[in-house]
Amino acid sequence: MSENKPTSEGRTVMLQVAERKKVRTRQGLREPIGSKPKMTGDRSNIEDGKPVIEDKVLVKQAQAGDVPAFEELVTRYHGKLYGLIYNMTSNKEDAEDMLQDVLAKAYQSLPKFKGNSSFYTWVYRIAINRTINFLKKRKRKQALSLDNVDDGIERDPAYVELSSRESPIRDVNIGELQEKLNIALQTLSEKHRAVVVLHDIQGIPHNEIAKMLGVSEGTLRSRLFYARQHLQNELAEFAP
Amino acid sequence: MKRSRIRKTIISSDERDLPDDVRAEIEKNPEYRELQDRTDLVRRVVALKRYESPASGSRERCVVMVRKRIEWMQENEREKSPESDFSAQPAFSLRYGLAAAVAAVLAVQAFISGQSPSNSPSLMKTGVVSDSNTVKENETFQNQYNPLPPGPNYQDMGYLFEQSVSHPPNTSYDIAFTNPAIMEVEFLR
Repeated sequence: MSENKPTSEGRTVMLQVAERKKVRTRQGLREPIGSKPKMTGDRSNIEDGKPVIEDKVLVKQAQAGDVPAFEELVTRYHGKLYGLIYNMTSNKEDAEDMLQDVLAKAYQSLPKFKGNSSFYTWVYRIAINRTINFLKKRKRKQALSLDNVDDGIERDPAYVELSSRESPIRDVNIGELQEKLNIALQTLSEKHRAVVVLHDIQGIPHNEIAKMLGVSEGTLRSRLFYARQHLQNELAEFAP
Repeated sequence: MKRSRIRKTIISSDERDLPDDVRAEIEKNPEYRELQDRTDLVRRVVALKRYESPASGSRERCVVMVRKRIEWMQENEREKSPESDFSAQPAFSLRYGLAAAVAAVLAVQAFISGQSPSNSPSLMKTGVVSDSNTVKENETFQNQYNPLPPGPNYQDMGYLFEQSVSHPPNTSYDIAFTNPAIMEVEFLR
């Protein structure tokens, strides 16, 4: 039980942040997109007291034409897939439309899914490929159309630390920060952006991303190196 | 260890993944420490993007729209013939129906009068079609009483049918106006 109690230091930091920002503390926040990515294998069999049907079983049912089983998979991976596409496009309307397209395509291709990888890896691969193709076809640069930032950001340890240290982020409002981050990401090529989104935003491990993209881990690290170096220049004001 | 390799490893790795030899270099050299701190800070700033969340109801809306798209795809698979899609469009069905009717009238006229382009007097004069060939074709036609006899007469008339009945399948118009998902989105906009 003692593990659940916040330390006095942590509580002080929280209070300071809440006071400085006049944050309305709200319970029951929505889960931020792409946070705490769970692999299929990590999924426990009980969630909210109800038994969770494994992906494999749902996939088999969907392959037999059971649309509600597929809808369960859609519900399960909506957040992560939306997060991926949204962060790639920086446009919420495009993200919603693309996600529907990706999922419909996934349903259509289900008979070809042999189960050599997890459903999660497979559907992610479809989403990445289709999003990259979409971005290549999108001739003119689309204006940013951004989602709301969850209040939880103000309680994120990284944000707390960033905003309390001598850093320009302290004076930047969250909306501005969000816009600058999206603009910086859009300056990357699609392949480099995909790596940053999957690893740095969604927290997916290198080996899993390598499988999704069909590249070696060396190639992946090389892309990550280039992308981070580029972002350091683009976001120099936050990390002088 | 090469300087460029150390820099590359620091930037492309997370702090917990750093190899021991690179860690040792970071401990020794403040320049590497600074690079490592800067890399980590930028990575954490970028990671704040995960707090951007879609509007409420996005998941439910997505499930509904995906179901509609699946139903639409299944319907499309059942209806292999592209004509059936066009028949749903009043403007298209009218235009193509009219063209088909005109073509049919022309075909029937040509059939009844026995005047096809291949045995017209003008072609005979120019020597394109010989008299003996025409006689032979007519005999075959009379004997078999075939409404669409094979041979040059029918082939020459074929362009009438091609032009009037065929149309490009799966045009953007076709997709846009028969896809219920797209129609609904357009309507909501």
